Amino acid sequence: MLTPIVCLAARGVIRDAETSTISVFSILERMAPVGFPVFVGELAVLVMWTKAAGDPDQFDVQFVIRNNAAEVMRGPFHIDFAGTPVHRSILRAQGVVVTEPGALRFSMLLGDVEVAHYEVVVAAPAPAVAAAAG
Amino acid sequence: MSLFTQAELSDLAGGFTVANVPISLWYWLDGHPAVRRVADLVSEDRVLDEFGALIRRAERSETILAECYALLTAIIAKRRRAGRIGPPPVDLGTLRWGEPIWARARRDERSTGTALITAPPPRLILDEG
Repeated sequence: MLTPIVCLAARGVIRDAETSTISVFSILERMAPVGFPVFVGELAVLVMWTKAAGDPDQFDVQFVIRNNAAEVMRGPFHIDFAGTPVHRSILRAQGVVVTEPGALRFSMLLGDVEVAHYEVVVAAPAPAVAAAAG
Repeated sequence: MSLFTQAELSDLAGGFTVANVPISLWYWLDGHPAVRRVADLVSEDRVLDEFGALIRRAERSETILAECYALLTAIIAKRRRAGRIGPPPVDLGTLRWGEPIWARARRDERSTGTALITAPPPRLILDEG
Protein backbone atom coordinates (compact mmCIF):
# COMPACT_ATOMS: atom_id res chain seq x y z
CA MET A 1 0.00 0.00 0.00
CA LEU A 2 1.27 3.43 -1.00
CA THR A 3 1.65 5.51 2.19
CA PRO A 4 2.64 9.18 2.36
CA ILE A 5 5.17 10.18 5.03
CA VAL A 6 5.21 13.87 4.12
CA CYS A 7 2.96 15.94 1.88
CA LEU A 8 3.35 19.71 1.65
CA ALA A 9 3.26 22.64 -0.71
CA ALA A 10 5.88 25.37 -0.78
CA ARG A 11 7.32 28.14 -2.90
CA GLY A 12 10.23 25.89 -3.76
CA VAL A 13 11.40 22.28 -3.43
CA ILE A 14 14.94 21.50 -4.56
CA ARG A 15 16.90 18.27 -4.85
CA ASP A 16 20.65 18.62 -4.30
CA ALA A 17 22.36 16.78 -7.15
CA GLU A 18 25.45 16.09 -5.02
CA THR A 19 23.83 14.55 -1.96
CA SER A 20 20.30 13.84 -3.26
CA THR A 21 18.85 15.57 -0.21
CA ILE A 22 15.69 17.65 -0.55
CA SER A 23 15.35 21.25 0.58
CA VAL A 24 12.02 23.00 0.98
CA PHE A 25 11.60 26.73 1.40
CA SER A 26 8.62 28.94 2.20
CA ILE A 27 6.06 26.29 3.06
CA LEU A 28 2.57 27.46 2.12
CA GLU A 29 0.47 27.54 5.27
CA ARG A 30 -2.09 30.21 4.55
CA MET A 31 -2.86 32.55 1.72
CA ALA A 32 -4.27 35.99 2.39
CA PRO A 33 -4.75 37.72 -0.96
CA VAL A 34 -6.03 41.27 -1.16
CA GLY A 35 -8.51 40.26 -3.84
CA PHE A 36 -9.66 37.55 -6.23
CA PRO A 37 -8.75 36.00 -8.54
CA VAL A 38 -5.15 35.61 -7.38
CA PHE A 39 -2.48 34.18 -9.65
CA VAL A 40 0.31 32.01 -8.20
CA GLY A 41 3.08 31.89 -10.77
CA GLU A 42 4.81 28.80 -9.45
CA LEU A 43 4.64 26.51 -6.44
CA ALA A 44 5.92 23.07 -5.64
CA VAL A 45 4.51 20.04 -3.89
CA LEU A 46 6.63 17.43 -2.15
CA VAL A 47 5.28 14.00 -1.28
CA MET A 48 7.50 11.37 0.33
CA TRP A 49 6.15 7.85 0.04
CA THR A 50 6.76 4.43 1.48
CA LYS A 51 5.12 1.21 0.44
CA ALA A 52 4.49 -2.17 1.99
CA ALA A 53 6.84 -5.06 1.33
CA GLY A 54 5.67 -6.97 -1.73
CA ASP A 55 3.94 -3.95 -3.27
CA PRO A 56 4.86 -3.09 -6.85
CA ASP A 57 7.62 -0.53 -7.44
CA GLN A 58 5.55 1.60 -9.76
CA PHE A 59 2.30 3.48 -9.39
CA ASP A 60 0.47 5.88 -11.66
CA VAL A 61 -1.32 8.62 -9.79
CA GLN A 62 -3.08 11.85 -10.65
CA PHE A 63 -2.03 15.17 -9.15
CA VAL A 64 -4.99 17.48 -8.65
CA ILE A 65 -5.28 21.03 -7.30
CA ARG A 66 -8.71 22.21 -6.20
CA ASN A 67 -9.92 25.56 -5.00
CA ASN A 68 -12.92 24.48 -2.91
CA ALA A 69 -15.00 22.36 -5.33
CA ALA A 70 -13.40 23.75 -8.51
CA GLU A 71 -10.59 21.77 -10.11
CA VAL A 72 -7.78 24.19 -10.93
CA MET A 73 -5.19 21.83 -12.37
CA ARG A 74 -4.68 18.12 -12.99
CA GLY A 75 -1.88 15.99 -14.37
CA PRO A 76 -0.53 12.44 -14.32
CA PHE A 77 2.45 11.45 -12.19
CA HIS A 78 4.46 8.25 -12.34
CA ILE A 79 5.94 6.96 -9.08
CA ASP A 80 8.88 4.57 -9.44
CA PHE A 81 10.48 3.33 -6.22
CA ALA A 82 13.24 1.70 -8.34
CA GLY A 83 13.96 -0.86 -5.63
CA THR A 84 14.33 1.76 -2.89
CA PRO A 85 12.22 1.93 0.29
CA VAL A 86 11.27 5.61 -0.07
CA HIS A 87 10.23 7.67 -3.08
CA ARG A 88 10.11 11.46 -3.24
CA SER A 89 7.70 13.05 -5.69
CA ILE A 90 8.36 16.68 -6.55
CA LEU A 91 5.70 18.44 -8.57
CA ARG A 92 5.95 21.97 -9.81
CA ALA A 93 2.73 23.69 -10.76
CA GLN A 94 2.77 26.80 -12.90
CA GLY A 95 -0.07 29.22 -13.32
CA VAL A 96 -2.37 28.33 -10.45
CA VAL A 97 -5.37 30.66 -10.31
CA VAL A 98 -7.30 30.87 -7.04
CA THR A 99 -10.71 32.38 -7.57
CA GLU A 100 -12.35 32.34 -4.15
CA PRO A 101 -11.58 32.13 -0.44
CA GLY A 102 -11.83 28.79 1.33
CA ALA A 103 -9.32 26.04 0.66
CA LEU A 104 -6.62 25.23 -1.86
CA ARG A 105 -6.19 21.46 -1.77
CA PHE A 106 -3.35 19.49 -3.35
CA SER A 107 -4.25 15.84 -3.82
CA MET A 108 -2.65 12.69 -5.16
CA LEU A 109 -5.23 10.23 -6.44
CA LEU A 110 -4.61 6.54 -6.99
CA GLY A 111 -7.60 5.65 -9.11
CA ASP A 112 -10.41 7.51 -7.37
CA VAL A 113 -8.84 7.28 -3.93
CA GLU A 114 -7.04 10.28 -2.46
CA VAL A 115 -3.81 8.79 -1.08
CA ALA A 116 -2.15 12.05 -0.03
CA HIS A 117 -3.25 15.63 0.37
CA TYR A 118 -2.19 19.03 1.68
CA GLU A 119 -4.57 21.89 2.24
CA VAL A 120 -3.92 25.60 2.47
CA VAL A 121 -6.47 28.00 3.93
CA VAL A 122 -7.27 30.86 1.57
CA ALA A 123 -8.49 33.79 3.63
CA ALA A 124 -11.10 36.23 2.40
CA PRO A 125 -9.73 39.71 1.78
CA ALA A 126 -10.25 42.19 4.56
CA PRO A 127 -13.09 44.60 3.88
CA ALA A 128 -11.99 47.91 2.44
CA VAL A 129 -12.04 50.75 4.91
CA ALA A 130 -13.69 53.87 3.49
CA ALA A 131 -11.90 57.08 4.28
CA ALA A 132 -14.00 59.33 6.42
CA ALA A 133 -14.95 62.48 4.58
CA GLY A 134 -14.41 65.83 6.11
CA MET B 1 48.54 4.43 -12.51
CA SER B 2 46.61 5.50 -9.45
CA LEU B 3 43.87 8.13 -9.67
CA PHE B 4 45.21 9.60 -6.41
CA THR B 5 48.42 11.44 -5.66
CA GLN B 6 50.94 9.98 -3.24
CA ALA B 7 49.97 12.53 -0.60
CA GLU B 8 46.29 11.67 -1.03
CA LEU B 9 47.03 7.96 -0.74
CA SER B 10 48.91 8.56 2.50
CA ASP B 11 46.00 10.52 3.90
CA LEU B 12 43.48 7.88 2.78
CA ALA B 13 45.60 5.13 4.34
CA GLY B 14 45.75 7.06 7.61
CA GLY B 15 41.97 7.39 7.67
CA PHE B 16 41.50 3.73 6.84
CA THR B 17 43.85 2.68 9.63
CA VAL B 18 41.87 4.48 12.32
CA ALA B 19 38.38 3.61 11.00
CA ASN B 20 36.68 1.07 13.23
CA VAL B 21 33.44 0.34 11.37
CA PRO B 22 32.57 0.29 7.64
CA ILE B 23 30.01 3.10 7.81
CA SER B 24 32.31 5.60 9.53
CA LEU B 25 34.98 4.88 6.91
CA TRP B 26 32.46 5.40 4.12
CA TYR B 27 31.17 8.68 5.57
CA TRP B 28 34.71 9.95 5.97
CA LEU B 29 35.67 8.94 2.44
CA ASP B 30 32.45 10.42 1.01
CA GLY B 31 33.53 13.85 2.22
CA HIS B 32 37.21 13.49 1.27
CA PRO B 33 38.28 16.01 -1.40
CA ALA B 34 40.32 13.45 -3.34
CA VAL B 35 37.37 11.06 -3.54
CA ARG B 36 35.10 13.92 -4.56
CA ARG B 37 37.57 14.93 -7.28
CA VAL B 38 37.61 11.40 -8.69
CA ALA B 39 33.80 11.20 -8.49
CA ASP B 40 33.55 14.56 -10.27
CA LEU B 41 36.13 14.17 -12.99
CA VAL B 42 36.74 10.50 -13.76
CA SER B 43 34.34 8.30 -15.72
CA GLU B 44 32.72 5.36 -13.96
CA ASP B 45 34.37 2.92 -16.40
CA ARG B 46 37.81 4.28 -15.55
CA VAL B 47 37.13 4.13 -11.80
CA LEU B 48 35.83 0.58 -12.19
CA ASP B 49 38.94 -0.47 -14.12
CA GLU B 50 41.17 0.82 -11.33
CA PHE B 51 38.98 -0.68 -8.64
CA GLY B 52 38.82 -4.08 -10.37
CA ALA B 53 42.62 -4.17 -10.79
CA LEU B 54 43.19 -3.27 -7.13
CA ILE B 55 40.83 -5.82 -5.57
CA ARG B 56 42.42 -8.58 -7.67
CA ARG B 57 45.87 -7.85 -6.23
CA ALA B 58 47.14 -10.41 -3.79
CA GLU B 59 49.15 -7.80 -1.91
CA ARG B 60 46.95 -6.02 0.62
CA SER B 61 48.60 -3.08 2.36
CA GLU B 62 46.60 -0.42 4.19
CA THR B 63 47.32 1.92 1.28
CA ILE B 64 45.87 -0.48 -1.28
CA LEU B 65 42.83 -1.19 0.87
CA ALA B 66 42.27 2.51 1.50
CA GLU B 67 42.46 3.15 -2.24
CA CYS B 68 39.95 0.34 -2.85
CA TYR B 69 37.45 1.85 -0.43
CA ALA B 70 38.05 5.33 -1.80
CA LEU B 71 37.28 4.14 -5.34
CA LEU B 72 34.25 2.23 -4.10
CA THR B 73 33.00 5.42 -2.43
CA ALA B 74 33.59 7.37 -5.65
CA ILE B 75 31.54 4.82 -7.61
CA ILE B 76 28.68 5.13 -5.09
CA ALA B 77 28.86 8.93 -5.31
CA LYS B 78 28.70 8.82 -9.11
CA ARG B 79 25.75 6.43 -9.04
CA ARG B 80 23.95 8.54 -6.42
CA ARG B 81 24.30 11.60 -8.63
CA ALA B 82 23.01 9.68 -11.62
CA GLY B 83 19.90 8.87 -9.58
CA ARG B 84 20.27 5.14 -8.92
CA ILE B 85 22.88 3.16 -7.01
CA GLY B 86 21.59 -0.28 -8.01
CA PRO B 87 23.52 -3.52 -7.45
CA PRO B 88 27.33 -3.47 -7.03
CA PRO B 89 29.17 -3.47 -10.35
CA VAL B 90 31.67 -6.12 -9.24
CA ASP B 91 31.80 -8.90 -6.67
CA LEU B 92 32.64 -7.20 -3.37
CA GLY B 93 33.22 -10.49 -1.55
CA THR B 94 36.98 -10.02 -1.49
CA LEU B 95 36.68 -6.66 0.24
CA ARG B 96 35.62 -7.24 3.84
CA TRP B 97 33.79 -3.91 4.29
CA GLY B 98 32.67 -3.58 0.68
CA GLU B 99 29.30 -5.27 1.01
CA PRO B 100 28.27 -3.48 4.25
CA ILE B 101 29.15 -0.13 2.67
CA TRP B 102 27.24 -0.85 -0.52
CA ALA B 103 24.26 -2.19 1.44
CA ARG B 104 24.17 0.95 3.57
CA ALA B 105 24.35 3.17 0.50
CA ARG B 106 21.43 1.25 -1.00
CA ARG B 107 19.45 1.53 2.22
CA ASP B 108 20.03 5.30 2.32
CA GLU B 109 18.98 5.62 -1.31
CA ARG B 110 15.80 7.53 -2.12
CA SER B 111 14.24 7.53 -5.53
CA THR B 112 12.92 10.84 -6.79
CA GLY B 113 10.45 11.72 -9.49
CA THR B 114 9.69 15.20 -10.75
CA ALA B 115 7.01 16.69 -12.97
CA LEU B 116 5.97 20.11 -14.17
CA ILE B 117 2.27 20.72 -14.47
CA THR B 118 1.01 23.87 -16.09
CA ALA B 119 -2.39 25.46 -16.15
CA PRO B 120 -4.43 24.90 -19.30
CA PRO B 121 -4.33 27.89 -21.65
CA PRO B 122 -7.15 30.33 -21.07
CA ARG B 123 -10.15 30.07 -23.37
CA LEU B 124 -10.45 33.06 -25.60
CA ILE B 125 -14.06 34.14 -25.97
CA LEU B 126 -14.78 36.62 -28.72
CA ASP B 127 -17.68 38.91 -28.17
CA GLU B 128 -19.19 39.43 -31.60
CA GLY B 129 -21.95 41.68 -30.38
